[in-house]
Amino acid sequence: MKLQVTLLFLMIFTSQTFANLSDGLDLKNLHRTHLNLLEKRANVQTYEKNKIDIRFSQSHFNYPEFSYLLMSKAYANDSYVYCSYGGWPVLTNSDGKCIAPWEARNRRSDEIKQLGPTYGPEYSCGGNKKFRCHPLVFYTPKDKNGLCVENVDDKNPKELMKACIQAHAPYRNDLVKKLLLDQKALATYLVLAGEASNFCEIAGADYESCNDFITLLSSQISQGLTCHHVLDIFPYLPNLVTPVNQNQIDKMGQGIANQFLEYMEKLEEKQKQVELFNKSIIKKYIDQYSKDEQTQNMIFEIQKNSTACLEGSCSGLSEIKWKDRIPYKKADKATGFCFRYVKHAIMGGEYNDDKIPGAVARNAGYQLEKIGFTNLMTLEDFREINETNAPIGSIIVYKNGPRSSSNKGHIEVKMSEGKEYNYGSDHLSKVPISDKYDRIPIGVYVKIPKDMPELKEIPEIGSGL
Amino acid sequence: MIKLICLLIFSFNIFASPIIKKTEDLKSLLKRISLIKDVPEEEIKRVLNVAHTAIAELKKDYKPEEKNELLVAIIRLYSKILDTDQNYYTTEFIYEYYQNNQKLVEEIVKAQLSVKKQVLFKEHILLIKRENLEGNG
Repeated sequence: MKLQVTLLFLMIFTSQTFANLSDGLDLKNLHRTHLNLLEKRANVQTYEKNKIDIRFSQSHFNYPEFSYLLMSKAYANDSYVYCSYGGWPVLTNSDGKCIAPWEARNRRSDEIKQLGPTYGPEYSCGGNKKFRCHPLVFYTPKDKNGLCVENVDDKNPKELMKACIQAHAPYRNDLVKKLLLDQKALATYLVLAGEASNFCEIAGADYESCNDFITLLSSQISQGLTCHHVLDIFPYLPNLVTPVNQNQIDKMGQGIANQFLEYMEKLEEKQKQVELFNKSIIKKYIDQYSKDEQTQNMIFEIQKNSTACLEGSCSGLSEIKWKDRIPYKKADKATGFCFRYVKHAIMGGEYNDDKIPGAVARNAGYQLEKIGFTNLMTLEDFREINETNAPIGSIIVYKNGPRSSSNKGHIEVKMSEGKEYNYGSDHLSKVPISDKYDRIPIGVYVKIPKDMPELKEIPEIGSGL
Repeated sequence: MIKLICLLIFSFNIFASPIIKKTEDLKSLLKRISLIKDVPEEEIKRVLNVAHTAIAELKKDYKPEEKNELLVAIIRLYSKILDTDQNYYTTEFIYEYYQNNQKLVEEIVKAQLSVKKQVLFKEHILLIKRENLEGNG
């Protein structure tokens, strides 16, 4: 939680609108105290000490009151405090020992990734006695991957830290320049600094450099908060403000968490209003489609053809009837040509001059979209749409379920509601096909305008209300 | 002696229990099928699922007479489905099994279904085959 709070302010601090503000930061001073802190930290952190009782400290001690000797226990307990290994933040193992940064557990850890780059193969210096210092904390313009130190014991973080600090001395000004020019680098750097300040909270008054460091960080952050328009900050808050840390954030940030939560409540309400409004607009167009003469003609075509044997479709049926030398079938008898019948219906409704191409109903969606139909199932506001509540006139496309022996899918038109036959393709049915057989709907298509100027934009975080 | 008895019981548990379980599965499935007297339209999907489960059971290592008994029960159930719905979708559940065991299925179909339903069965098999080959457009 502490890191979250720190990260929050650091993220706020490094937002785009702070680009110019960073010029005024005393980054050189901050970096000096940061390195000082990291060095002391490397000396304090235990790597090979006795086992740690992880259950020991959490509920019985306040971190600031911890003595120097209890430090390692605090480390093991607070998942937001890491070891520092040549500037690389690293996890501790179950015994509280720092894990080398190149080990998979660190490289794959989401928590560590949150703190910047991880020590992947690209950072290898190519030998046992060589070590890559953290590429940003020990930035050098000579190598974008950072400084390599040689003839060091890479199993000894204390020695590594010392070597990195010494090797980096000529490049400190380069780092400051980079941080002033590169907002992303500055953000990453400050996240790392924030992690270091967490260490300070645990160490308490044992280190003067800690006090300097925290004072530097907080003064610059509060400077940022005062200058900054609060709406620009909000986009960074959603994952960081929780009921647990809200009070702490409020204290440090002049009630910003409270303001944020109020803003979010209003924003969500506004978003809902806009969504409802947009849905009503789309629904209006869908209703128009259902009542449209073309749609009604399409439905009529389905009904009319339900007894017909289109293009010899009845040839596979064992029972064909004849009238005036023309074959016909029962309306509820399927021929295996659902897509063919729907193609004819689309032409009957004059939604297309020719039969739309394709032999497989499951893939009909692509062709329907090409002639201007929209799949309501893909619209955010119509997620609840299905084959049963589909609007009248909609063309419903199915894929086969796992128990079906076919993979060609099915297609049908919703013709009506509450009648003897409400769905039709090569046969008519009271219910959608999925009510009887193993078919799964993948599209509910209607023809509505692609552009609806009445639609309003859904407000996002950071927008005025 | 006691050791020998224990060993026998243990061996029985190890080797015979899957056989007993399988037999019980078969019995319960046959009973489940026999309980379906007729198939209302709104129950077609549920009954087809039972039929599909039964077909899947046929893939297990049963004795030929057990398989035969189950297949007969399935075809009788299919007959009841056809009383309600004569569309070819009702035959999908058995299509794959039919392809691999054509002779056996045809024998039982001939023995268990009326001539009219035998014709429907053949019609459905051909419609499914054609749809699988050519599509439905």
